[in-house]
Amino acid sequence: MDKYNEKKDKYTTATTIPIGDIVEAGTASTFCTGNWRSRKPIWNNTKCINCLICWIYCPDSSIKLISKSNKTIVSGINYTYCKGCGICANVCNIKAIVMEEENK
Amino acid sequence: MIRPLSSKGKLVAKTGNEIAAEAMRQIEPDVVAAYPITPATEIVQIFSQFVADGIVKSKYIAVESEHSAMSATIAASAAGVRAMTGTSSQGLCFMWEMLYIASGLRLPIVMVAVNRAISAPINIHCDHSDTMGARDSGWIQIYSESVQEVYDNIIQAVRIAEQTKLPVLVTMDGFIISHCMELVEVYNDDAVKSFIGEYTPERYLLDIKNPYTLGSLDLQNYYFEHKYQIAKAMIDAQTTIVNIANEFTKCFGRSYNLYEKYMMDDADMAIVIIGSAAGTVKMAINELRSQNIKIGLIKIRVYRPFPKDNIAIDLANIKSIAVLDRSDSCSGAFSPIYSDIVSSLYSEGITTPKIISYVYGLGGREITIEHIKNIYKTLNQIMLGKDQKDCSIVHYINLRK
Amino acid sequence: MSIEHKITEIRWHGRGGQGAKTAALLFAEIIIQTGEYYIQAFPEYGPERMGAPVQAFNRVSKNIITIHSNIINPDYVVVLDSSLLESNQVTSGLKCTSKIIINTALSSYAVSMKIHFNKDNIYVVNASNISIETVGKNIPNAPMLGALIKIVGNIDLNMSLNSVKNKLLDKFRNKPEVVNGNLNAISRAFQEVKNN
Repeated sequence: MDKYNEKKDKYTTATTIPIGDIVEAGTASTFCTGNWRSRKPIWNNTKCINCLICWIYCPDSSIKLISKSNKTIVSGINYTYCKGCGICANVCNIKAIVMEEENK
Repeated sequence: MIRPLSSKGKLVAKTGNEIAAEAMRQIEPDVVAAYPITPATEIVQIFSQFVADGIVKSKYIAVESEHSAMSATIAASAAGVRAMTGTSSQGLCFMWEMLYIASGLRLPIVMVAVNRAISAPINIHCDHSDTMGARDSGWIQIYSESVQEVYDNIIQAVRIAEQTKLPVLVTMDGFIISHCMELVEVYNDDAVKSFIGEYTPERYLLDIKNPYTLGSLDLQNYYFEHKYQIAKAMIDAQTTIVNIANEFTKCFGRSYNLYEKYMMDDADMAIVIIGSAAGTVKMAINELRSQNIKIGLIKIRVYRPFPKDNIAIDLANIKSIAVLDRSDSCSGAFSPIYSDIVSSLYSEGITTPKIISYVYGLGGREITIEHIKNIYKTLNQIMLGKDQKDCSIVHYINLRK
Repeated sequence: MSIEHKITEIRWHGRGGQGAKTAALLFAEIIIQTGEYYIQAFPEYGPERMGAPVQAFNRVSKNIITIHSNIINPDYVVVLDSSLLESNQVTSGLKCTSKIIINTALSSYAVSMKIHFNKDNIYVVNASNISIETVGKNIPNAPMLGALIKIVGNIDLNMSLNSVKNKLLDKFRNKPEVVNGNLNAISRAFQEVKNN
């Protein structure tokens, strides 16, 4: 038996999956891409100027934001979903995010 | 005095194209996207005039090709509205990849296809090569014998599509029906509108409160299940089509089924055919019957899904059968309808009837009552077990070999 | 109407632009006004080019018409352009009882010499002339329609005119003056078509 048939997923048979190639919205939240990571971004709170460029570019919505005195600022990185692509570090002009080995 | 069958009907003279546009006016789909092509041009030409004159509230999208026409129709249908289009021949070919997307996404699109030969060589006349090529695309296919059937089939198609969640192709023979004016009973607008009802899709992309993804990547783990769903829906569609036909009969008087049996009750020989030539065969059968020749006709109306079980039972006791295809699959084997008939019979364990294949009418080549009578002669020889000069299974009608 | 056979078949000959197809459609619409007949009207299928020989067809029957093949042995032939008599298409498939109606200034006798067909079954009318006098240009389809109505027989002229009027008012909604000219052309040809 292959791994797809073993899966105890509610979407397993032709009669239970929605018809017509429909995928429910919000299903990406159940898919934890964090365990793909081989290098991880490290955010430096003191260097960060909250330009939010990293938030715009992150393909996995893994830059965490909070509101503080009417301003939106970065509060950290969500490692449950961050797959370590390094785009945030690449676009950060002031090197407030740098990449490190995952198991350092 | 010729009277309408229904109290909601009146008799008018219209061509196949005119009646298709008229049916579309009454259905008033929310979106029509189409590109003109002979011999289907008039359908969208007349309909776009209805839009321009404000007679219908439909949005008409003038596109630059049939590929875009089907794409826009798919998008409109996915967004959650009734969407229709019409085309023919090369236009249908150009829609090809989008046909599979319409059925794969389970969108209830209704398309009127006017049957025309496929190039090369260029030919604008009728044969069924275009829609027969689309027979495995997951679209329901309903063929029309006359202008009346074009009208009735389009009205039923809207409900069939919405109930089965499969796109439906309603066809008529190019020029022979599309440009032929016949007496046809049209039903009043209210009656048609109440028969098709309001369209309320279960799910649609513009439903912002219930978002979902449509048309995502679907690899080894789910694609097969999705394709099986279409195959299953196609089988289940038979019951839906019959139920809707019965309701149509209650409303408007004309009866329809998956296929029509003509003089089959005591027949020894039978002809199986599709499309407008069925009417010519009926005339020939009338003449042969007046000479006490027991020959009947099965006219397939719904070709996809193919009514395999019932048709096998109805042909089980026939001694010799001729299956007439208006397309040649060029497969080195047999043409589409012949293959379907033979496998339907064989799968039911029925192997006694002798079945021969005729290819006819490619590129609009004429088929007359005399040709049908010649088929009878061959069927009779086969029934009597006499040796045939030409004992091949595949024959061509009115061809200079 | 004198329907001798189960289906009465009519073949129209014209040149692209003369309105043979329109005439066949108008004829079918007139016939259904009687409420007694099923009809078919269809053009010869092909690309339409101004001046090229074209054909159009009608079938009329008390019973439902299911046949969808071409007309081979017409009961009536209507010729909109006498230059078409030079080709043998006009007489192709004629039965000895068939009637032929021609737009010409010639007599039935003169035409019969040309096409080798029984003079008694040849009807002539100068439809081009009528058309020029009533519509202002040579579009002989309306007068030939009038002539056909007369020769087929038992079709009420006023009913025919009403039917054509309704259709033309729809078609020429921006040029209503065309309608009356065509109606006059039909009436005149109805009176003037003759066998001599």
